[in-house]
Amino acid sequence: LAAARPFRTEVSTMIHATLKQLSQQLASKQISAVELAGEYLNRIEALNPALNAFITVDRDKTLAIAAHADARRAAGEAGLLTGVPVAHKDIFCQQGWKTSCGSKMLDSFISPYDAHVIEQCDAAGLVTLGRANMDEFAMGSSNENSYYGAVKNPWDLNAIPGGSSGGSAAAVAARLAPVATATDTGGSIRQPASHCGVTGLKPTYGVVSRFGMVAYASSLDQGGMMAQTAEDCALMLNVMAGFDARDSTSLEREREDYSRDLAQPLAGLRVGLPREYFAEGLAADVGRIIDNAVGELKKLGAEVVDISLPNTQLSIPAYYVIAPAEASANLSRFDGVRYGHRASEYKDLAEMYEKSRAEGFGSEVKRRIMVGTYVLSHGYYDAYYLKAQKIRRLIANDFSAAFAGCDVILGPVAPTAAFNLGEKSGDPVQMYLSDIYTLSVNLAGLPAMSVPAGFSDNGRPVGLQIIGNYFSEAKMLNVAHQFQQLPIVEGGKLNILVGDQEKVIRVTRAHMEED
Amino acid sequence: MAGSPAGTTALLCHLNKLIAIYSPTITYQRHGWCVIRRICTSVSRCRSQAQTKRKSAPQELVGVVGLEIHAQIHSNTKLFSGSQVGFQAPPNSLVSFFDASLPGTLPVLNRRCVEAAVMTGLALNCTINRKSLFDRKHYFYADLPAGYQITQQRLPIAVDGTLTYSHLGGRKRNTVVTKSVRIKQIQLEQDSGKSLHDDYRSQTLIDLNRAGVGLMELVMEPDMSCGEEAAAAVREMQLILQALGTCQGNMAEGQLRVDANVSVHRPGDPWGIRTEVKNINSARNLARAIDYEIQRQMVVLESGGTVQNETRSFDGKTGHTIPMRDKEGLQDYRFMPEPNLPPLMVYEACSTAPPGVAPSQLVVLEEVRERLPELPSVRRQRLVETYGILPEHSFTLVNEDGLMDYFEAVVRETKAGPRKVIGWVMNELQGLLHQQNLSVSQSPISPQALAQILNLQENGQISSSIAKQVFQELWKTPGKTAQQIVKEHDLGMVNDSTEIHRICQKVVDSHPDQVQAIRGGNKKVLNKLMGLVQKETKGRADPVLVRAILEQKTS
Repeated sequence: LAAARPFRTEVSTMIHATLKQLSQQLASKQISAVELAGEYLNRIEALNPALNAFITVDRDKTLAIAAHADARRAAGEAGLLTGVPVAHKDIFCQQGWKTSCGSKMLDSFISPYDAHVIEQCDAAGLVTLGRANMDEFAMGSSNENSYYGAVKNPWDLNAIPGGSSGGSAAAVAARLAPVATATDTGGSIRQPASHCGVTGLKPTYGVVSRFGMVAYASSLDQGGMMAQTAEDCALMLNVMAGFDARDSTSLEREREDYSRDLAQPLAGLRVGLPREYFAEGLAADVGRIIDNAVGELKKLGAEVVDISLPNTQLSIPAYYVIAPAEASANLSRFDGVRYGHRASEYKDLAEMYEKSRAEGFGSEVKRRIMVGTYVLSHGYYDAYYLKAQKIRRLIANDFSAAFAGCDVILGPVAPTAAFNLGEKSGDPVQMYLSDIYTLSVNLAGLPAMSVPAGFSDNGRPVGLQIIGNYFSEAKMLNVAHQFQQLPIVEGGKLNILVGDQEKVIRVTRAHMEED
Repeated sequence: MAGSPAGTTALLCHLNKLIAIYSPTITYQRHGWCVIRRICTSVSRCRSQAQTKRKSAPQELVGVVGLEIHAQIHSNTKLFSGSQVGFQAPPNSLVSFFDASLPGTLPVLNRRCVEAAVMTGLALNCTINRKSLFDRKHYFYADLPAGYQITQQRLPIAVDGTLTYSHLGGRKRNTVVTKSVRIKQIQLEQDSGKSLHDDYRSQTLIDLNRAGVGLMELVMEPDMSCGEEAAAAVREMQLILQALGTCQGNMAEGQLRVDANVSVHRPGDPWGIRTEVKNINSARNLARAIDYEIQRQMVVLESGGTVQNETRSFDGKTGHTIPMRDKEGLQDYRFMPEPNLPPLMVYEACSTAPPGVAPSQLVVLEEVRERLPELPSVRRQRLVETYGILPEHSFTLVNEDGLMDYFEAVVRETKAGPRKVIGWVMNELQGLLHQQNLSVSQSPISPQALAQILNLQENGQISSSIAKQVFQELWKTPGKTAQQIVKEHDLGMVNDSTEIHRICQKVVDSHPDQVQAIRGGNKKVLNKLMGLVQKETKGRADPVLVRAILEQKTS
């Protein structure tokens, strides 16, 4: 197979480079955008068959974009990230690219327009490497719900990568892309970032435009990114954030440089630890890793505050009412009339709908559409949707009370490290329960991150969650960046700043050897 | 089937009779074409009549009518997208990605549409909600691309208004009766696309040009009791919307769509079970549909049956309403808040708006109020006060498109008084227009031309009967001037008193019996002689002069 294509040594180490490093190498002409894209494409070609992180890769198109980036640089019109490759989650509409959202329903959908996020990335000169795999319509926590098959965790091919942005996380973790766009509705950036050992950021609701982002639950969906470091996330957020009049929930704020506070010392930082996040259900190894991380931050001068988010438990039922309700409405448009999958035989309009939707949607999507339809039904609205909205308000109040006494909140992202493929796919409730630490943030519209913090007993990555107050992205990134400057040693092996080269390469070798 | 076989037969028999007598008529009050065009049907039964007719008799069933009006907002672009609004464009040529509900597209509210709804609300004396909300109403249909319509179910933009309208009432049905209907709410919502069914090839084609066009849904409380009232209310609504420019109001083109909720009950009893009548394309058909439906329900109840809560479609050819096959009555719309749109805020003044909001994005009541044009009711009052015309004439002037402008143009250009002008406009002009089915703008006689005729008459150059003759001639040969016609047909007034003396003498000589009668005291016979003189002069003799001469000769 194509895996035989050898890497140039200097370039194959380049795949571990951060955005900042790549930017410098491109600027100093050590490498061209075309060469860089070529190397990543080679790596994708070699490793993607095992990882399934990409749904669509188009070498010619990518190289053409890269050539354009080089031309821009030659013309002196390059920005900081011009020529840097990026993987886009298959949820962002991108003109001329299949935008499937992980669904059979949109397998034939070539977007005729660009999402705001895509426009911003294109304008910055980022080079699209391909379209990252995901749970169908972003519904899932394991990436097993993709029509294009499950994504594998690069750290352990038997483990799930997390979801729904599993393709983005696996791509960045396996160095198939230096950075990837992603979305987070109930943890879909933070949880896969945690499981794959990369840094992920979900901004405040309204900071990144949802225009062109295929909607799952509109009041919760928010675009963000994954990269190796917090600094890279800051650079990428500078590209992606910004007011967009085409999204009425987009917030009109002054532009800010999200990397401005990275170097700030953490002395005096008040770190809130919510009791409810360290209670029953949290795996011992994950708990230990988070405790260690908090200990490291204390050494940097952070002060720990005990806080309470009493309605945390209620976030699960509230989320699994609101999100399916909105999804059932948002996904009504997929009817086979104008685009997307249409059944081949039907006798009337009703049957066309029924068959097209039955064939086009996977089981988790159907489940959520049915739940959503049920909770919005006449006579049930007050008991479910309205009550869930009230809980949502309570949860937001919990956070504002907590932030009165601390600057950031720390905790785990998920109760356990990545579980095995197939382990929970038969039990949706177990799957939903694993979202306990991430859902509240979406319900409240807050920003949050996942930062690699260590490895579980079975050697799988575990992330530390940092939750900030509204619009405190720069503060969160500051905390994450300072944390990532520490030579954190986990099991005597890992330097999380550049990822565990040994591990990545081992995974890589294992795969190449298999090939 | 409910009821006994005999009951069924009676019912059918009654229905057949209804079909036979069901010939709708449009009648016009009094002589000529003045006052309000009265829409009534042979089965009209207004509550007011019923009540006045039999106050002490056992209470009889009366109709209860409420309306839901969908008014297409007259704006350049759609409610939530930048697509143009147009009705003659080729199918699917005015469709944005949002209108086609492509994945990832989002609604952006069109401020112009909001202002149209606010202005309409103000004109209908509504309370404008400073904060209103958008909701999704779900149903699957091929011309509803998103699978839901964005509407305002919970908190609409305007509530609690009134519409005052008038129709003819009284014993002779020649008095203007003014009534009002409460406006429950005005909500902003999206229009759907159109499904075009090709039965021959058994396929359905979808045109999304209309999808997403802004609508105002105006919900009227069931304060009306018959078709005539409903038609008059809708006509007034049309005039108001047209005056505001917020809706073009053409029912035949679907710019104004009216659904009627109809039930019957005995006054004092709770309301009966209602039906919703759809597919009504004119004010006339609205009256027909409602009156048919009231009558049908009465027949059903009087023969012991029950009215079904259903949606019925009006068939303009037969004048009947028939149950619609759709399952709309059973549909659960699963309303939910629209998460893509923040609350819609309307501010009293620019100064009360929060800082940071761009002025171009603000909807400010003060500004909209300032732009409110003269409303039809104010206009009528102004006409009555300014020109001293009858209230019913003011209705005709305002209700007929362009007639008021025509009238005022004539008044400006003639020495004749407004009351004289109104007579000409109501009788001569309207008469010919209606006879030939023309609109005011299509009149072959311009206001200036009519003013000339009236001036000739005022100056004593032609008599009033000649003036009418000139009018008729001018209608046939619109290129000419009134003067030309007078000259060509030798219609000028005969002022030569010798000549008139001669003719009068001739008439007096040839009618000795009449002269005798006049001398005997029957002065009325003088008119007969005057007529004969005018006949002789082809109506050109100055009637004052003729009378004086005849009086002298018969004394």
